[in-house]
Amino acid sequence: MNREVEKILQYVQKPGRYSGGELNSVIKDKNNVSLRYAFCFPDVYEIGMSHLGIKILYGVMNNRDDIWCERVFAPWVDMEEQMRKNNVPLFALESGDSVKDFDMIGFTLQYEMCYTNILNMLDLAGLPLKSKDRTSLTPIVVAGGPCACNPEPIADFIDIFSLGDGEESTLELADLMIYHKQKGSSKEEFLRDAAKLEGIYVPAFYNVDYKDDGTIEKVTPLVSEAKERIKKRVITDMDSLYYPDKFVVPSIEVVFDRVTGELFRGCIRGCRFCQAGFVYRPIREKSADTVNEQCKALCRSTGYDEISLASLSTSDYTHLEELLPKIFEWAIPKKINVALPSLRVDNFSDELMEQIQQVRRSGLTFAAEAGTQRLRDAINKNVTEESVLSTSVKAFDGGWTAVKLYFMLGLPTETMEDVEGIAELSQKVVDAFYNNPNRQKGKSVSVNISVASFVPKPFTPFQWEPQDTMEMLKEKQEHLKASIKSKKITASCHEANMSFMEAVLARGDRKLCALFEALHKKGCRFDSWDEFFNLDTWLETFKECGLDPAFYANRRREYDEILPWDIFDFGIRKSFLQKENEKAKRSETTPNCREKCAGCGADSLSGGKCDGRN
Amino acid sequence: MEEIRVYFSKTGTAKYISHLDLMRTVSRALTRAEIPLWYTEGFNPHPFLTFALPLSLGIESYCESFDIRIVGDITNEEIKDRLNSTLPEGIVITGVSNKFSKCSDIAFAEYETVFEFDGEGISDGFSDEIKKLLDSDELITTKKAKQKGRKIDVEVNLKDFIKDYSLTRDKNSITLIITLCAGNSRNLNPTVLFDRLLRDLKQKPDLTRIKKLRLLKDDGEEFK
Repeated sequence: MNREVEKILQYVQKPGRYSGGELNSVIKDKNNVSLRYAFCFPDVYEIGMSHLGIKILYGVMNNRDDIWCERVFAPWVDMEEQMRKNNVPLFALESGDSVKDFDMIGFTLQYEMCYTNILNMLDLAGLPLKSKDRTSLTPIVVAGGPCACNPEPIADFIDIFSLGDGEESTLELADLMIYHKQKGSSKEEFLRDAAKLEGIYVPAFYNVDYKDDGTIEKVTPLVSEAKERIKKRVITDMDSLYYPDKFVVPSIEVVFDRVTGELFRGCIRGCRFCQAGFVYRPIREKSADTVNEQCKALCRSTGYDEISLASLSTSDYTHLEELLPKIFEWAIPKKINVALPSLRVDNFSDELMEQIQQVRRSGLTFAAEAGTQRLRDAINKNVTEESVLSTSVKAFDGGWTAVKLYFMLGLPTETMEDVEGIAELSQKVVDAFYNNPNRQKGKSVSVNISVASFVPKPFTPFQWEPQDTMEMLKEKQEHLKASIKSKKITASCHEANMSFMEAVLARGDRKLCALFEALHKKGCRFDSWDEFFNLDTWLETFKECGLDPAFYANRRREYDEILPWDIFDFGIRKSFLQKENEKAKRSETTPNCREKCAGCGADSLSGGKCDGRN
Repeated sequence: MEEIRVYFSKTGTAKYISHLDLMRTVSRALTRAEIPLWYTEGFNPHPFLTFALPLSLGIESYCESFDIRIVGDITNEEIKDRLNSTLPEGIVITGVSNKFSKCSDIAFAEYETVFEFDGEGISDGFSDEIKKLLDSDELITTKKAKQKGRKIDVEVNLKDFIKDYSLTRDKNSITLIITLCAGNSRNLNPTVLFDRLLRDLKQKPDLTRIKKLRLLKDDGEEFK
């Protein structure tokens, strides 16, 4: 290990975050590779190492002999202080080499509030923040992930955004870079070629004009290679798609320390607030055999004693009842636990409940999202009070005594009556426990409700909607707390301040780049952490930059307004989203994709194929 | 079922694995290596696995060990080889044994500590000061302790925990070989001692490397 790093590790908490050397981390000879890629997760090690995407792309790239992909995480504040004091630049975990000297630097954009960390990491690497100030061919800064569906607030800092599934496009970009390195091309030559690839957006090749009211007048491609619209990448054959057979096993405990099996991408539900439910469409499933083999290989190579079957809505996986016995057959003798997150209440069958009980019992969580049926219909969360209660009763029969419920405040069309509905529904769950003769005797029930604030997101039917102001959200939180009468119910409400900023960034435009530059100068980072986020600093910076956060968060957009993300084609038609928005106003539901195809348009990305319709 | 002791060294980046994380790391390595382990028979079965003595974060060691119980046909050599092929960087199995002493026999630990100085080297005063402190009758520091659930500061004379030491000086480093009380009843973490030693010194080493060399029993025999 680098001696300078070893010296500063004497003074930081959890040095294992920075030391590397974990099992299955990939070491190559840097003189024998054509491309070095630094995969950066803009948050602390324990969070980044829990993320599936980084594991997939790390494997995809390192599978190639001529590419060496290494990992980089945001150094925690104590480490940052030491690094700055001792002039240690940001380094990659595998080689300890400075990130600045890599050919490509890739950031994953998982949540908007991590953007200040991206700037801070570029700065710690010793790189100019702005794309235009990094003039040499390498390093090229790439970013992908869910927030890349509207990357405009950080468009000035990133050279290339990659939209959609990254397995293929990451390698295409890498190959292109290898070619241009050998040719000795300029950065512009490389970027022009990159812009031709599907799913690749080079923000510097577009000019944005604004109207006097601040909305977008037009977006103009500046070079012939820049497309009018950029279509996200979709991989259709999930069974032949690369999936790692090894995960790097962290030596220190991380948030999700287990094997993750991927069941499918996309979602059939179409909950109108949920960005993931739309931007990952069309739904594409893996076969039970594929998932089973992938989980088995990962358990063998990692030694983990838990498997989590991940997807947006696990019980919608059509092969679940075929898959579970296959996994249990080898997992139970090895005492490996199987966790099924994201179960829905409406199709949670008795058989499924029994199967889960064969292994260790974990908590029971229902995402009801809204308190009344009217509002649940408006957001198309097709869960009924009846199903929440009947599933709770089943769970109480099975010995559970704690239930967690997720709700949101500030949803479009919400009234105070809907807010009270949250308390009422929670009360009914408490009552269901005491009215159940089969409940576990001598035990009390606990209903924990977790209440988030609604953030309107691009590519959802609510993309035009205003967010409630912070005052309104806080009033609703107070009203909810006052409506709860039972001591068995504990409500925890998320800070509305951060949701407000999230709403700005989610639907922001390029003007916000100035904000991030200014925030960085003030030393902002780790803004997704309550202990570091300071709304006053952000609001003050908005003012200094001549920007109004309400313009982005609390303004209703007209259907004909040009939205910053309109140049991206995520398959979903704008007319479909508009129709869904109108239905929301009438509290009208849309059946899930398997009941009836709603014609969202996502199948245009996969040649008409959609597992929601088979 | 047979109880065996597995000896290992923990050096390089592995010194940053805390004791709690080490237990997880070893437990996963045992799973990957498919060692036929005996599981406890309680409500939540887990493999029998105990460590002789926890090692503090940041210290390298050549004398660590853990005990496991084996329920199948497997040679000691095979256990060693299988584990070594699947342990993370820096953790190396050095031996496996069926005969071993009780963990409560541990009385002392011998450490080699190198204080490294960058740049102009060491001032003459540094090693003299260290010597003077180690030779004095009292070397008091305060340790955090808990009494009836409340946190209190306790004064400790570190001299009571030092058995012997030797000091050698090089151009850019000072090497201290020191034997301290160790074990479950009387134990001194060497970083506590060094923090105290360096507390009042003007010149601070740029890097302090601590290696645990041997564990000793009360009679001076090596603990195995």
